[in-house]
Amino acid sequence: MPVTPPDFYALCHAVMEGDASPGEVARFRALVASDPACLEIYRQQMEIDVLLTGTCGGGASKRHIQAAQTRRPRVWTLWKRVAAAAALLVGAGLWYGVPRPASPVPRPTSPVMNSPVTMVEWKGAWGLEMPPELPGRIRLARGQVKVRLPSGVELSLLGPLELEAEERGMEVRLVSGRLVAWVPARAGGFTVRAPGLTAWDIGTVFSVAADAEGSSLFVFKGSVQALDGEGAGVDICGAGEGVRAMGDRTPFKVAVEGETGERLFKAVRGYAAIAEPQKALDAARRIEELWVAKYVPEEAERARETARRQAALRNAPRPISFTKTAWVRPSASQQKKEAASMSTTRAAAVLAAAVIMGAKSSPALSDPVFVNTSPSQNRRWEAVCTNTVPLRWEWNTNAANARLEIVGMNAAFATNFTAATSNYLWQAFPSATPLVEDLYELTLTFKAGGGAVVGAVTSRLAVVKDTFGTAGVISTPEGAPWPNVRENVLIPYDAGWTEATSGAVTSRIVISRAGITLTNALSNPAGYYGWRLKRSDWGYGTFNLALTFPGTVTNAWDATLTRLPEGFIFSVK
Amino acid sequence: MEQGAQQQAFVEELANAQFDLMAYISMMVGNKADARDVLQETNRMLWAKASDYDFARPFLPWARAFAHYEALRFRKTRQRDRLVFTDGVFETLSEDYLAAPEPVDRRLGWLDECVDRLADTQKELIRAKYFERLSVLQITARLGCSPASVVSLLYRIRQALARCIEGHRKREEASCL
Repeated sequence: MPVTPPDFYALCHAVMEGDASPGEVARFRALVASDPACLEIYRQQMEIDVLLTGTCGGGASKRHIQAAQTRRPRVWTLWKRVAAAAALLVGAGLWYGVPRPASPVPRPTSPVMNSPVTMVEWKGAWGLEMPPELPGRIRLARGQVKVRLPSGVELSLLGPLELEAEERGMEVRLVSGRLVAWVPARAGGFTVRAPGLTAWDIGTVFSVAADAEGSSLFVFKGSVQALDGEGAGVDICGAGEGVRAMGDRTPFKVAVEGETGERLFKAVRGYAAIAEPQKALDAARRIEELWVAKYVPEEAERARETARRQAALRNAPRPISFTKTAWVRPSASQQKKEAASMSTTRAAAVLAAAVIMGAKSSPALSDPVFVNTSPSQNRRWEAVCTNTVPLRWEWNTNAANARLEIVGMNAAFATNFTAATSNYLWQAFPSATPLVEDLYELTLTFKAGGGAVVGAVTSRLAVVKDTFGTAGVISTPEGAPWPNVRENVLIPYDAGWTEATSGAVTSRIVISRAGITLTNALSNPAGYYGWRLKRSDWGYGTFNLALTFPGTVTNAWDATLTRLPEGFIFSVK
Repeated sequence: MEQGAQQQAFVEELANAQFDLMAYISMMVGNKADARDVLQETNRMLWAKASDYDFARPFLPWARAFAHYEALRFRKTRQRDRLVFTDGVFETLSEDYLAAPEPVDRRLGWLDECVDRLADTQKELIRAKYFERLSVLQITARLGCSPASVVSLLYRIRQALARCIEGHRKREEASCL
């Protein structure tokens, strides 16, 4: 009779949570197939897990849970109440069961899946590059990811970041960026090298940050041996201590100082730093600043000067508004290209290409798509065949540099250019097809040598998931449901759907739910509206949506949307 | 039944069946993230076939057949080395689940009582994991213990709840004799 392995409970947990590696899945599969006791354990664990998940809200917002707790100490039947409420809803027209994202935390696909570095968590990350083998380089443009090295060390990485990892995952070189490391006992001796500073772990949780001015180390739990750039020992840092290395000067030790420092450290000490790496790194920086202000005043003055410069940049005049909004839209017929090029000099700016039909896994790069900025002609669908979007622009004659900012509902990204660069390949999402839908606002701000803003241009790009692969896009007036509902919703609208509204120049979408009404006046007659539901206060229940085109007929497109904890049912009349 | 009323009745049945379908699919695919995808495909299929549904017959067995088919389809799309169960185990789990004597609502009622009997520290852990949906590492940070301890504690709590529910089941069976 087989003996149930003592670690089966951990294996079972990893499988149920979807965190198991291929090797662990294989072991689990073999165990439940050969050992009835293992199968019974799984059956029990999964049954209770699902019952608890369902009865405890199934994703209901914290607000709902707290409200329920106030009314009644036990809230185990919340999910049933939500389901019952949903059952009362009926639409008069079409209904769609719309799939939700594969996971609350988008799970990346190749090349991330093929890397020896394992993805553990993903929070609004963007522009992630994982090495196909080690030694190799990890890059992250924006957001936060947690990865596990072959040594078992887990690194929370905050972008922008660039990191080189050696073969066994026992040493990394932080070129720039910020990280929090959790080092299990078996990986003792794990080393992080940063400019002017080396951290040699002695079993701990610690952070390392590197930027143009130097490097910092801070310890949240355990001990770290800090070395300078030459390998000479600085000191051993315990919890609440760290080291700052700047340029050529000798690295100096910092520590939690005063009540403010104690309060900051208390919130992130120990394993709390792993749970909230951004907060931990911010606290470490603030603790360092407090220490420097007290014991290294000349350094504090230099830091204040840097802060003043950054504030001045932030408060610089706002970018000049680009009045003609460019739209790049998906196409029903692949490669149908807008014939008209950008004719106005003001518009000759951002050329964006969207990602759409028949893309599948094709790595092919589409030609840049000219964006027609005319309000009367920009309703056509455009097509490209890649998730790599070529951006191209002409320089403002007075500009010496430019900043490109791309802001979506789920992520944001920014980068700077000098006048030598007039195009950029932007990867909108890491996988061959998008994990979530999004709406991106692109702004290219031109600045003179002194930093003054001399011009700006904008564009917008919608990534619509179901337009990848073979799914068709319905753009005819008769068959125009609002499809593709996700946690963050993209709502397409087009005055051209009916003859009666085709003359409209603006649109309006009103969203309402039990006492909450949001009116969105849209400055164009066609495009996408990004409705941010994720991490919002909208909650669950029934939403009424109305789309109108002011100045034309009074009839509206009405829709009723039911947001359930596990997905959506959507109706359109 | 007129079309509007039929549609309303179907939506009601569909919404009421969500939890049972999720429970069945989770058991069959092995993790909840994949189960949610399969559930949505099942919902899509159920809606597409709504006109075929005979309101004189119980909804759940009809819907479960679609869930079973979608779970099978999910297995076909997944590489074999990523499948959590062999074909034999998959069929065993399905047969056992469908042979369960009581509906999921009954088990929910028992669970409610069983959770009440847990110690406060155990309730706190359940609250963190299932109400607040914290990850193991986040719970680790809150409770100040290792990730392995959290996983082990959660396992033991679920085991205790399973035994408690089984006790309810046996008592109910005995009372019917």
